[in-house]
Amino acid sequence: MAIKSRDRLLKYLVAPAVIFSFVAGVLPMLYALRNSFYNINVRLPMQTERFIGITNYRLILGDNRFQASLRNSIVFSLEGTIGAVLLGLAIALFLYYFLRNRPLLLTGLSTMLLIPALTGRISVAYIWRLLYDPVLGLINHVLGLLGFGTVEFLSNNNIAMQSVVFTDIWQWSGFAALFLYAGLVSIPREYFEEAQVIGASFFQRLRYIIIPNLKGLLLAVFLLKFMISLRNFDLISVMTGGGPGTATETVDMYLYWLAVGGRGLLSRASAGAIIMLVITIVSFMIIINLYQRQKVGE
Amino acid sequence: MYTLEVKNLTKIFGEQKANDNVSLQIEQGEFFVLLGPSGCGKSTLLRSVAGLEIPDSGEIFISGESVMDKEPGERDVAMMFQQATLYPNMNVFDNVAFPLKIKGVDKQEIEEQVTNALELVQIPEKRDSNIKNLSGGEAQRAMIARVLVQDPEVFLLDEPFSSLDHQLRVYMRKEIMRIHQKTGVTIMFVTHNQEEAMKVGDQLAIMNNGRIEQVGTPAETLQQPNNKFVAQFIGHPQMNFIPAEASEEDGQLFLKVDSQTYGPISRENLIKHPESMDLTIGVRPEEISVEKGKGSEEGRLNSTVEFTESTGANNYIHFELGGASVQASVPEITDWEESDEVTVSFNNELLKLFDPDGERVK
Repeated sequence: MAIKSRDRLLKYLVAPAVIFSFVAGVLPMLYALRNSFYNINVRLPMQTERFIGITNYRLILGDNRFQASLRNSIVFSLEGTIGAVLLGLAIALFLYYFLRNRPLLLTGLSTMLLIPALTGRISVAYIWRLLYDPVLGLINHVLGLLGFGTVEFLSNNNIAMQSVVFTDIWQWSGFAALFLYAGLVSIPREYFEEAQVIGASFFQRLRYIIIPNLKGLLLAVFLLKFMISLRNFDLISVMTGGGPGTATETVDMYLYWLAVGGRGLLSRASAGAIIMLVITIVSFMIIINLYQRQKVGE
Repeated sequence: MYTLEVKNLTKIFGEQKANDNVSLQIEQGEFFVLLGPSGCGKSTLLRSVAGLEIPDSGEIFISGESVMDKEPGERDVAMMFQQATLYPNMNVFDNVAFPLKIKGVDKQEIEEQVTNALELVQIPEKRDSNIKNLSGGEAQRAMIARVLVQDPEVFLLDEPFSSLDHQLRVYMRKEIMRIHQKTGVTIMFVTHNQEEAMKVGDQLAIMNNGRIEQVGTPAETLQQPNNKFVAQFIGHPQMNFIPAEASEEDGQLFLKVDSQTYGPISRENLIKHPESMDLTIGVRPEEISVEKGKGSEEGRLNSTVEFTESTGANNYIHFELGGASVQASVPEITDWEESDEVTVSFNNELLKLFDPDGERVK
């Protein structure tokens, strides 16, 4: 009986959290879902709301700018995630091979690696906008000293997206590195020594021992970073505002503009948000599925 | 030319000398055992041979060639660790094939060699098994197979069976002896288990505090220990050590234990070196003969039984001599009781004497 009443108590204790996330998360989502089937324009407050079926979905899917922003979102998230995980792995390997036996240096460097991740996105965005600046920026100054011409990092159509992605990688690869370093340390040392006696080269060790033993963790870090990358509104808004043109405009930026900034098409933006939600859920399901299969294999 | 030769090797960790000027030679095909208590430096020595530790001074030769400038992978050695180091991301076949794959051996050759190796260690049916599904013994066999395919000059085995339960350890010990006999490979085997060392080794090196105390066959180390450490480390049950004082009378040697006198015994050398008169008698329980009652005969020792002990197969009585607790084996435990008077004599042929530094007086 005691157990039963304890269970009931537990239910009461989690209730506030459940209620809060329902009110703050689920209700707005359901409201957005409902809105996506109506014709709501926040610029025309007198308009009567009318159910219009899937018209919003048809319109938004046929919208070139939406398609472009979707492409940008995917490019930004995937490149940023893959880049941060790979660079993180490289940093983790460096720490493992060169600094494992120097605790002081290791601690100092780990803290430094975490600083970008602990810095607010907006601050990071402002810092990098300044660094990239064609006139005042440090990077262009250094390039100038080296004899190169000025590079318009954020206003050149061809490289603006890569510049933003680079900032994202910079912010998160140290964070990924610390996770992966912890994973490397947990691989039994004898695995490496065995490989050493066998005569495996660094790349053979990487391929046959390190990557297979880190697979689960690599996927977990990938997932985490991917989630972080999907929330990119703040970074890109500050750095480029979606520009030049719409070269770096991601889905959330476009939908925000559609609903609030420009034409007031709230219900069409809602339809876009629902589509994005579905894409997110599906891609997460795939990654989590991969992760769990990896777990079972272990 | 020795298959493996270590010359004046010293390895220091911080303040401690893990290996202190160690030298040894191993012949082709020998089963060489490094034996010693934990922390005596035997694993460090083995790891230095493998190239996993870099010695502070000294040299290592494999097949007559110095390997000091060679990476572990270039030394023509294969190593088996204490922990299972089969890679969990590979099945048995891939694990055993791994060294060959690294060397770039072609597929057909790998297939053949791995199949042979798995047959030699008698687990051919496990070739496609996930290593998580192997029993302790099977995992050990797979590891031996992986060592075998490397076809090295020297096998280095670092307490390979110490994580197994007793029964399996005895079994795997026989297996490694069988494989040694069949392949004739040179083996350097580290263990802290003296029973294991005595059974498998052609040659033993007994280590203590980073130094080699004695090298010899198991019989030599048992019968002619160089010093007290070897004498107490080798043999089961342990040798008894009784403090004694030597005294000479009419060219004969007597041993004074407390106020009693034992002897005479013949030890010519000792008489020539009368300065080493503070001695320790070393005698194994089975080299002591005991008689009931207080003997009146000259030159034997008297004591009182403190307690008796039986292991089923062997029976022992315990008594005190010269302040040391002594264990003697007796044929029948029922003959003896606590506080019985006992008259003690030793097998003088086998009796060992140690000088104050612990060296055996020969």
